[in-house]
Amino acid sequence: MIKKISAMQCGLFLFLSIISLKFLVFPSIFSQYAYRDLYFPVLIGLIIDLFFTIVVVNIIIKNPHLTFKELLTRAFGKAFAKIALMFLFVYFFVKGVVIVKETHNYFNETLFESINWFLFIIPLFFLMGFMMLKNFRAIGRSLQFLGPLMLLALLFTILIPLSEADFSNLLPMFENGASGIFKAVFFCSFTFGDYFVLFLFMGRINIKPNSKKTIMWYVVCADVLVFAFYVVFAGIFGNLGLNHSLALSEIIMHTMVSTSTGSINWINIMIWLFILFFEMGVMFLCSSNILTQVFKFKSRYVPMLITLSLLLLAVVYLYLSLIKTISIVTSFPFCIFTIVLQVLMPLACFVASKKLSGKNKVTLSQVYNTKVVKYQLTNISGTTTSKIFVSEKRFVKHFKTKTTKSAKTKKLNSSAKKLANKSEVQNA
Amino acid sequence: MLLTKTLKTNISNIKLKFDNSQDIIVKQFKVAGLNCATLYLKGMTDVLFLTDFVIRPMQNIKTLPKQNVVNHILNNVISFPEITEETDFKEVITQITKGKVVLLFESNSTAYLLELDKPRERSLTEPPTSAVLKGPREGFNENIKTNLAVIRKIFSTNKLKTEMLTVGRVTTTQICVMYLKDIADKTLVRQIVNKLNTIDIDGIIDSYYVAEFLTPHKRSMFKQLGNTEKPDIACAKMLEGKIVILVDGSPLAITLPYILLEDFQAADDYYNISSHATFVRILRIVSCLITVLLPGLYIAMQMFHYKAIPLKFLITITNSTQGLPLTPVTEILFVLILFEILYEASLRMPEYLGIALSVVGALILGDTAVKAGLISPPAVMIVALSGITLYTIPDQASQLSLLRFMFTLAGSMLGFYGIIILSMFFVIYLNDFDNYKTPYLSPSSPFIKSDLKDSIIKRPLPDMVMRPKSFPIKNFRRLKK
Repeated sequence: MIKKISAMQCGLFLFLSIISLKFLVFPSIFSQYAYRDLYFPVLIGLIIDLFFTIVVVNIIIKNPHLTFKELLTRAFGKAFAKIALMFLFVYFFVKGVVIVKETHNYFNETLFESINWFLFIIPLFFLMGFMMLKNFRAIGRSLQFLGPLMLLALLFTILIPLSEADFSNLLPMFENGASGIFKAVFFCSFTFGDYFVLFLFMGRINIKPNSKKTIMWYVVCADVLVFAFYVVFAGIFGNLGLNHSLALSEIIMHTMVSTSTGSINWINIMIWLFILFFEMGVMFLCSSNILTQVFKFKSRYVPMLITLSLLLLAVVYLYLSLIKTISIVTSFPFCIFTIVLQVLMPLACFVASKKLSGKNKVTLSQVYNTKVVKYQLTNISGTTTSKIFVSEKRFVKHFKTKTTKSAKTKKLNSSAKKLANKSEVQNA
Repeated sequence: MLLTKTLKTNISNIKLKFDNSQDIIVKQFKVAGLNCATLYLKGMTDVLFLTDFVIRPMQNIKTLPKQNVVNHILNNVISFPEITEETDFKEVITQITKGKVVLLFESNSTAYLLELDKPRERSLTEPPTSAVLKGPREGFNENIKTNLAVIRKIFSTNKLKTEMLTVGRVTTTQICVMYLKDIADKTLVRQIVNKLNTIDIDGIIDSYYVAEFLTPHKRSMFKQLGNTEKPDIACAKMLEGKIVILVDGSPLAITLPYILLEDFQAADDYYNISSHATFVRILRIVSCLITVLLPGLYIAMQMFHYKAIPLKFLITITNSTQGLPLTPVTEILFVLILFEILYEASLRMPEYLGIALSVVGALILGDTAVKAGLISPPAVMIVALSGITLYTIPDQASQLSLLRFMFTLAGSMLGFYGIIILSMFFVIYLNDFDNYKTPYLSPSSPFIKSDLKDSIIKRPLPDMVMRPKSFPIKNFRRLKK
């Protein structure tokens, strides 16, 4: 049984995805191209992302019981769905590796003088493996549990250095022309496309009337915080932002206010580690989940081990070759790959959703709950009825309203209650 | 096997079953020419009551009717309110062991069981583990019937349902599953009753034996069932839709489903102003964090992140740790283990010795160790603080103590990194933990807004219109406005 996540948990996943890399390492890269105007490309990227997020959320709400794979399979065939999933795997895996590498750098800047690469990676392997064995619901709930702390860290990160920011640094605008802004959007495209996690949540979100609003509220909040951070970053460092490669640690550790406010900076550093580890975990969980969907592994351990093995190869390679991961993801070919993926994926989903709308609309009984529905109907009335329900809740409600008219309806009622319990378990 | 119609055979069979034990008492007498016998276990029956209200009135009968002799005796002579009939030989034996008196008649294959067991129980005193400043002080005792009666006294309603079960091949312990009919989830009740029925063990000595069978994640180090020694708490939990299980011979009632936050809520909170209750609950959470994290953080800061320690404090620590033969890790572990040993020893010692031992341990041993240069004063202070805060949540003491060791080791190996990794393991693990359809960390995750009224924050009772939605219950409305 799929353990569904709530809209709030989905929103938190998106929130986490939006803030992590953008805070950690990308401000200096944006600054390389856009200098003091770095918040403009961020704004453009966030608006594009917001548009695609709305598109994907609408698709999810229209097809609440279809997973990404099912949607594409029904619209374009199995092969297309699998190829799309493998592209998503590459995207998530690379994003995970980038966060691992940049977190190591963050460690060296903040917590340790110099932490051994393997001493850093081994405990992380255990944690990632553990997270990959869990489901999205467990991780989503963990995010809810630590959510207030994370929000506090974010606010500290933005508010504490605020007094040190000199907003005259933001002027004059467009000093280096608009081309730098568009170049920044292009070369930093990897940091966007956070709505990709939504593809993995298709068919797993417990849709309620205000779900869309809840999800979008989190996305907008994250976007506002990211934008505010970039404005503060530009305010503090101005044109010199490109020299501060690890924006997060630079702001937390080295601004005067931060270091003079006791141990707040340390608390902040620690909470930020939670955010980064969660984001890594989510990326690798998405990767292993895709492997399960593509290769239909029955054991949870196989995709986990494959993902971990690939991660091991990646980290050994990165260690031996001394290549900067960030330079790979900001290279021209990779940016092309990212942009194409970021546009094509939601587009494919949109087309698939359109294809499956109207007469071709896929109903609940046709998709994942076929067994449950058939079981209920045959068990209850002795004959199978062709009634199709839009959602499980309506199905349950339908039988609940048919109360004790006859012996048969009594049975109906009890089994409907069983189903209600099942859905309660799912929805938690 | 059934009883026979011959009185002598029945008596000899019963005596044989008890291997002619000295404490099985058989009193044979005649009622207007009809042979009768009473059988009971010595010491378990109220003999005075038996003689005055059963045997003597029977012996005083001069004539008996020709028909329905036994019925006449039971209805008109003894007039005992609770007489049960039993024909099964095995059940008769079981009932004798439970303290019941068996009344047998000649030419009758039915045994009549009289409830005359001697009340030998301690009074309903305030339990030492959950003493309160305000509120009811009554506690459960070891007698299930008394405990049941105490709860019945609080709930004067027919909606309180009880299901009696007998578990244990040798002990035949009575277990009572209690719930409120209109509130508790029936499927959950059935699930629990079925689980209890499947227990096939030789003996149940305490409710903890039952708890082990009901625990959903058996290998987990975290507590998964609630328990209480107080009837008022048990009743309050039933009002929230929970199920209470009483076990004969144990003053500890099991409550389920259970969430972690329950142990941060004390009975006092509900008999006090809500703002103070909120403050105390926050204190308990902070104490819990200090208990688990403080020794680990201290070591991590001392070994890896000394920059995080304020300068003046760092100088104090450096001065006090200079010349110590132990490393920071071994020093803290040494003091932690010493603390655990002292605790364990003072718990097992007689009360007067226990106090002396803790004074000797804490003051003399600690002071001497510091003076001898074995351990530093900050290490003693850290462990002492963590030790005191451990007992602000007594029900969680055992697992918090274990967690403290784990975090100390993690902090000593990898500093803050180790502590964060370990915290994440536990946060994710506990969030994946569903306990009888109830998320373990609710209402914070999954976030249930209405349940926050009685979580870390304690709102006044009139504000709590609904029952907690974290638990699977039928009726959510608590307060009718």
